[in-house]
Amino acid sequence: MASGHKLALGFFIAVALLWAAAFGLTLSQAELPPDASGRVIAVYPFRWSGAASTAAAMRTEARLVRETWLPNILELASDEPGFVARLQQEGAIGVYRAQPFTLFTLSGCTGMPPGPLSLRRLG
Amino acid sequence: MATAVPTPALTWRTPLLVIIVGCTIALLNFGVRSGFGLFLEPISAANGWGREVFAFGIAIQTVLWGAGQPFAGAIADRYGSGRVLAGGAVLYAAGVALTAYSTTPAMLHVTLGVLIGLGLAGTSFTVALAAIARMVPPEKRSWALGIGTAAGSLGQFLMVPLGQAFIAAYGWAFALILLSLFALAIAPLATVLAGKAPEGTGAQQSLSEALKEAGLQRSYWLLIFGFFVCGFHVSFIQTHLPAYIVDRGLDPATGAWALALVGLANVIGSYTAGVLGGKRSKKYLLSFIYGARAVVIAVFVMLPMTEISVLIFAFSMGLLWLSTVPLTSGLVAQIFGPRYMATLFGIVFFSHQVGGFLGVWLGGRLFDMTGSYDLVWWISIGLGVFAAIVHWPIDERPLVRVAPATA
Repeated sequence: MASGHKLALGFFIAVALLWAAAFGLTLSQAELPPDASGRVIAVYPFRWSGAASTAAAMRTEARLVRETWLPNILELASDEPGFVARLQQEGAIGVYRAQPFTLFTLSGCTGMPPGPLSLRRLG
Repeated sequence: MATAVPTPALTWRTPLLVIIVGCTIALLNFGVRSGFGLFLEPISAANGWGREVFAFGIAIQTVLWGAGQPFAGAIADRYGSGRVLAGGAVLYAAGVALTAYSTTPAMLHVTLGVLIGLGLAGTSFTVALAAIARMVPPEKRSWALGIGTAAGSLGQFLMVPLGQAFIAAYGWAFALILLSLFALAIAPLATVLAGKAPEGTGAQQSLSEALKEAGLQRSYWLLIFGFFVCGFHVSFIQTHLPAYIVDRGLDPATGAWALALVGLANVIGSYTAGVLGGKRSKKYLLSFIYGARAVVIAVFVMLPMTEISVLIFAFSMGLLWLSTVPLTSGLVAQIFGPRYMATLFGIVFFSHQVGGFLGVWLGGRLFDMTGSYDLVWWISIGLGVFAAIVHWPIDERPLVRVAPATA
């Protein structure tokens, strides 16, 4: 059974590595050009606190649309050209187009849709 | 009595290859589907629809996925798993790709609902796990079912962020095309799981005889009732936990972290259950899992809610989440043999989907009627106790079949 555990571990590591490569490649493709503006998701270094991330974002005169599940990732907005470049100058390591995302995007193992009531309550 | 003969030589299809490919199919099947929720907003916005249009498509998909599994299993048992998996993969991929081009609600319900639902049934756990169970030695079967289930759980966990990244990089329509390629990849992989159990691996039975035999077994019905509870629990919690957490005054982010933690712990729990199922009584393990669910839910709803209590609940439930799958499917194979496992487990899985539907629907309905989820939580606790009890008397010994007398 020890060999079975090794096989399982090997399989999961291989999947994780493939996933990380695909995810990294896709994220690099998703980065916005420096002159872009509008609603964006800005990612700051993971060692930064939420306060430091917010402060860096505010120095670009961005509007804070919302905080996310992670303190160093913020949804921001600005209509000024060059917004992405300014965010990067202030320390953002990645800037992406903001997307709608609700808790229900994480569907259950049965793929059940949320009821209209839940949709209304959690947006 | 028919004697079980060892699994026949599989030439190039070694057990190792079968397990790796079976895991990959489970990962792709579950992974691609878990990302569908990401498209709710962009598809609804692009077409100017309310969210109910998309949600109804998912509802059709879920019903067909559940109802289609016994039929997909029966076809796999009769004509071989490879054809069903390959056909399912084509339907699945077509459904995902054509969802990008669905410009009316009816089209969306055909693509997202019908095509993907049937494709999911054809490429589902039921067919893949049955093929794995047939092709690995019996002593490794439970472990193999465990790793297969864990792989599916891992796909569910990993594909959501990747799908989100696809949308960010390429837009939602092309993201769907990319996901359809993942689904299509199941087709060539299916060749490894092709074939059906040779007639010599069990009693000489027709499908109808196997169904009749199972229908007369109390243990089979107890498995069906028990798995219904699994579906009820996971669907209710996955769908309504975030709302419950927000109702109790916590941040929605806690709900998101809780769901992520469920997904991660689910990988550990599924694999561990498979390993334990090879060493211990599967029915007692199932009784323990359902009993533990009842205890975990009871503690969760009775104690004051904090972020820590939510995360502990999520991790604990994650460990108990799909850990029922390798044990339940393993019991079906153990009692009835692998010959008609896809059909018999497909029927059991349908019960899971019915339970899942009720968990989601009843959660919302009773919330509307009472203004809280308390009643549904207590129903969940009661069902957990019920499932723990019904698994206890299952006779998990292989059925002894009497071969017809020969002249």
